[in-house]
Amino acid sequence: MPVALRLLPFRRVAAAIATAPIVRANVREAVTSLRLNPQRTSLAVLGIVLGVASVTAMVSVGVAARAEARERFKDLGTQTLVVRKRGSAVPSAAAKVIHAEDVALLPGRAATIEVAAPVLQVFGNVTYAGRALESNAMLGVTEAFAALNKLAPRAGRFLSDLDVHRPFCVLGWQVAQEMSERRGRHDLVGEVVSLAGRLYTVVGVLGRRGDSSLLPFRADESVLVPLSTAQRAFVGTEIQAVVAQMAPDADPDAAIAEVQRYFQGLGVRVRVSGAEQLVDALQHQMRLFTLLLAAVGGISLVVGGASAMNVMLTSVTERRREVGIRRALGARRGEIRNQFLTEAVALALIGGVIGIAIGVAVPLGICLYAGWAFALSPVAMVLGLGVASAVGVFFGAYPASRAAALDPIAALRAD
Amino acid sequence: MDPSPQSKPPPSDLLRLDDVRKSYAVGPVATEVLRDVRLRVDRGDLLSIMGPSGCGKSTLMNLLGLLDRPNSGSYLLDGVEVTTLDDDERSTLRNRRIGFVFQSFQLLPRLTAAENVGLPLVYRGLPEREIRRRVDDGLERLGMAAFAERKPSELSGGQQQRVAIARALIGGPAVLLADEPTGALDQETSGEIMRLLIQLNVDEGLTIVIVTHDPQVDQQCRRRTRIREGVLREDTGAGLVP
Repeated sequence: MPVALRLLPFRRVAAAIATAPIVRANVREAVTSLRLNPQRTSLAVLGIVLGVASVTAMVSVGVAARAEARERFKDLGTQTLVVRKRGSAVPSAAAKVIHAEDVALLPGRAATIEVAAPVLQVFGNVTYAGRALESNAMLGVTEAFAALNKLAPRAGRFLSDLDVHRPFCVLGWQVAQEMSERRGRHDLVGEVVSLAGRLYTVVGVLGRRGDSSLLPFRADESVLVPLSTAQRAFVGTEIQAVVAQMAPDADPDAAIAEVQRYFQGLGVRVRVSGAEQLVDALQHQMRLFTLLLAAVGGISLVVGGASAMNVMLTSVTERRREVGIRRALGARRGEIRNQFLTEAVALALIGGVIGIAIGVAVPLGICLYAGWAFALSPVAMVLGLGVASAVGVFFGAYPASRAAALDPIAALRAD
Repeated sequence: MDPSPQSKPPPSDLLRLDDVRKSYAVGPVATEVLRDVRLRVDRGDLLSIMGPSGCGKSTLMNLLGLLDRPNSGSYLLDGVEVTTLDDDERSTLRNRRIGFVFQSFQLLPRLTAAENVGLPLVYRGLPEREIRRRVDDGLERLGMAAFAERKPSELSGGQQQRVAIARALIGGPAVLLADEPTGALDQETSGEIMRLLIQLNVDEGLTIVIVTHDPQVDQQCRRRTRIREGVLREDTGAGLVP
C-alpha cells in the first residue's frame, strides 16, 4: 500500500462513524452549555467575531477589487490590451516613435494579437457655429478603432481606412450633445466643425460609450478624425497609444511580453497593460487597507482565542464533577477531551458565523459607497469558518486536555 | 431479612483482591490507607463494607471501581488482572463491568433522567435507537418510566437514586458498587432503596457491594465486612475473621 494511503486515518474515520451518538451528544452538550451562559459566551465570542470579520473582509475586499476590475473591462472585454508609449525624459532626434505601419504589422508578427489600432490624441479648440466647445480633444484613429472600442455610430458612419487624409470627422457622444444644444439640431451629419483652425465635415455621430479607466482617452468627449489626417494637420504629433485585441486563447502574460518585445525590437519603450495589471494596481491601492485588516484580524483572533480559552478553563473548573461522573461511567480521557474541544469549536464557530456576516457586510457597504461592483466570495466565507475552527481547536486544546487529565476521584468529590 | 439464595450461578470469585496496599503521600510522609487487603466477592453476593469515616472504605471502593490503582497487590475482576491495565482499558472495563451508585446520586443536572441513564451506552458507542430502547426498559424496570423527561432537579431524592441505579444497571454490569446509597435519604426512602437493591440481588442475582457506615444497611447484607485502619475483616456472625 502506498505510504499516503496508509497514512489516511481509516480507523479513526471508522471509529468516528461508530461513535456517532457521542458526537451528537457532544454537540448537544456544547450548545446547551453555551446557551446556559449567554453573557459569558457572547463576551468570549467577541474577539473571534472581530478577527473572523477582519479576515473575511480582507479576502472579500480583494475579491471585490477583482470584480471591480472585471467590471471596468466588461465593456472592453478582458482580451483588450492597452499599449502606451513611455515618455523619454530627454526628447531627442534619436527617440523612436510608434509608426502606424508598425502597428498595422503587429497582428501578423505577434501570434497572440488579433487586431491593433493606433491612437493619437491632440488637444485644441473645437469650434462650431462660431464658438468653441467645451470638449477640446481630437483623436486620430483608424477604422479598426471602432470595433476594438465597441464604438457604433448613432447617425452616419464611422471613419474608414479609405478616408486617408480626408477632412472628415466623427463626433463623440458628448460633443454631439453640446453641438445639438447650441443649434437646436439633432441631425449633425454634414455639418462643419473647426478643429484647431481647420474645417472638417461630420460624417457620423457616435452613441454613448461611457468611460473606461483603462483607456488613456475619452471617446465620448472627443472628435475623431482619420489618423492620416491628424498626422498631417498636427505635424510632429506622435501615436501615443495602441489598443490591441488578444487572440481568444492567448495567455495575457505571454501576449503582454510578446507586444513588449515587438516594440522593443523597434526601439520604442512601451508599457502594456491588461485586466490583470489593473487588478494588481487596484489591489496595490488597497494594500494598506488589507494590511490593516490583517493586523486587526490577527490580533483579534489571538485575543479572542485567549478569551475563549479563559471561558473554557472556567467551564472545565465548574464542571469537574461532571467530568468525574462521566469518567466513572466509562468515558475515556479522549472522550472527555473531545467533549470540551467540541464546545470550544462550537464557541468559535458561533463567533465565526457572526464574523463572516460582518466581514461580508462591511465590504459590501464600502463597494456600495465607492460605486464598485461587489462579488460575494465563497472563499472568504470558507476561510472565515476555517479560521474560526482552527482558533477553537488551538485555544480549546489546553482546557480540554486539562479536563481530560482530571483525576476522576477528586473530580467526583468537587462541588 | 435474610433471603435464601436461589439458583445461584456457580460459585467462583467475581472480584478477588490479594495483598492490596494503597498509600497516599501527604507531604513527605506516605500514609498507608489500605493494608494487605484480601477480599473475595462471589457472583450473586450482597456484601457490605462498614467502617468509620477515614478508615479507607472509600479508597477500597475506588479500587474496586477501577477509578484508582493499588500500589501493590493483585485485583482480578472476573479472572482478569486489572492492576496492570492502562487508563483507557480501565475506562472501558468500568463502562462494561461496573455500575456505580453514589451517596449524592451524581446525576448530570442538565440532562434528563433518560439521558442520564443512557450515558454509559453513549460511551459504549451504541446507536441512538438502541440506547433509547434500553433506557426505556431500564426506567420501566425501576418504575421511573413516567419521569424519563424530567431533570434531576425535578425529582425527589428517592427518585434520583432510582434513576442513578437505572444508570448503573443499564450496561449490564458484573457488579454494582454502592457508596453510601442511602446516605442522603430519609429513613423511609432509605428503606425503599435498600429493598430495591436486595430485590435486584435476590431476583436477578446481581452482585452488589455496599459501602456504608449505617448499621441498619449493614444488617441487611448477607455478607458483612469491617474495615478499620486499612485492615479488612469479615464478620461471619461468629466473630470477625481475617
